[in-house]
Amino acid sequence: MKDPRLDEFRLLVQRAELTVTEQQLEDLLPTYLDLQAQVAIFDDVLTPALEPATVFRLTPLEAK
Amino acid sequence: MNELLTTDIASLGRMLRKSQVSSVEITEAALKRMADVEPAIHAFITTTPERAMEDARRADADLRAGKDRGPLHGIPTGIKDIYDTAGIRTTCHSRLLMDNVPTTDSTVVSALKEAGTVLLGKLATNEFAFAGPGFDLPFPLALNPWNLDHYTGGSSAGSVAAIMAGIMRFSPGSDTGGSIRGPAAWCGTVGIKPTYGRVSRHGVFPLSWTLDHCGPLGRTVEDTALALQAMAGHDSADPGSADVPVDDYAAALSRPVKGMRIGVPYHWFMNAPNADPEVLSGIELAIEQLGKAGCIIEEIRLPDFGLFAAAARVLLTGEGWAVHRQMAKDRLNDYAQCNVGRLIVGSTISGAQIVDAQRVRRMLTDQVNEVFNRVDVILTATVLETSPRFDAIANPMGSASPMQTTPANVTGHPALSLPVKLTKAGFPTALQLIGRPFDESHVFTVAAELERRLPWKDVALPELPA
Repeated sequence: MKDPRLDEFRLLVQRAELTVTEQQLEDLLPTYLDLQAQVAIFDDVLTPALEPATVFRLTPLEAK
Repeated sequence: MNELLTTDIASLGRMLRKSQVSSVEITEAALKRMADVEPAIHAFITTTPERAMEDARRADADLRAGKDRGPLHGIPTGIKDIYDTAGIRTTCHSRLLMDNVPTTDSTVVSALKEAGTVLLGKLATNEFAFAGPGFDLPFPLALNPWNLDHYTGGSSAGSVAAIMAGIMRFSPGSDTGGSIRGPAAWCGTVGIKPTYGRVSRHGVFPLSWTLDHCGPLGRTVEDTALALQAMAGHDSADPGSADVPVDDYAAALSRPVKGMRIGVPYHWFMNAPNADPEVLSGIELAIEQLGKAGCIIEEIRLPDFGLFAAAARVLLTGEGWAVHRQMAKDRLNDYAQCNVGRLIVGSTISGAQIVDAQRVRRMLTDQVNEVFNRVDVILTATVLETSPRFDAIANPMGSASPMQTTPANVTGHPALSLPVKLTKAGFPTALQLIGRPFDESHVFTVAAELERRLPWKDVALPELPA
């Protein structure tokens, strides 16, 4: 039986306008699901106060 | 092997300045070594022997004329084939760029030319410094000089292979998720990923703009420090470049470590299920030696490693998709199969996921900076295992990686991989030192102290089939 998330994966790849075979999608489905599982752990730490605008704020830090 | 090839950069420099050796002689030795071992290790995509001899003759003439270009004057090197080199093919190890001949040099290549180095050629990588190992590339994979059936560990593959084969003392690499430090660890070189913004990426083919770092690999800590000195500095052509003064890295090598505070996040590596006991014992040995040298060792807690890995993967594959989107739509099947898979999966990442990864990244960077209020340098694993056989690499696209390198790409902190010892099976182990932003100097100070104290200093270059 096909994994129900295969359709989701197929749709996203189609939206990206990539031409791929059904076999490629099936072979890569575990990698896609593995990536989505990693994305899901963000939910454990994200808060409304976290925002990305200052990612590149690196400056020298003084030793204390 | 010619003794010149086992002589460090600083010593070669002294010999050059006393006219005890010429750059031409050093270069001829390097070219001879290249001819002997390249058929076995496949470090090069393009060799440039005529250019090398021309560079060497110019270096000698400059010295005779009193024009000294600094510590790298007359020293041979090779350039990872994602750095643009004017008039020399730059393929990114890909079918898609087989005929790409840049008209200008990347900033780092210009800087190394200005520093008087000698260009031996362009070095193998993973395709576009992306996924690997790929077995369907237009040029052979660079192989691990310690065992030719084993993986080098990442995309600066030709650089480490050439250094450990004795062809050169240093080489500029690039590191997006660990491609300087991983190969350094698995092949036994030193390698530093400097702070984000420290070395220009201008003219280097991007993989992930916000994670890409350029930096050197070297045979020793000193070789690596001298190379970084020549590569570092502000460059207005790189939007990510930082206008922060560059320290004197050579001076940092002899500073005392007594009283320095070393933080160790044992929870990242000590109980990891796939950690090799010989890698862990090497790290314990290093910690013991730093304690003997007068450092204050402190166990620290860093954010969960999985968060760094997740942020890095989303950003790398999402930005990688943005870089390659058009070429992938037009010529997907011209990529190596492992990159076809990465690009297909990367194409599914949403804008919200990228933004969330950046939000997490900001939090992680702040939390690591907070730790640096208490410690000077963090000591951890570079990679949990030693180099695997090619046929033992299960799924290079998945989340299960033994590399512990991605956190410093996510946060931008400087991070150096230092070889520790050889395992009983004959493979290098390594550790990683992470410093405050733009504080490569403290990292070099600790690395130099450890290098003097660890067994690696007595390890000879691997034997290679002639």
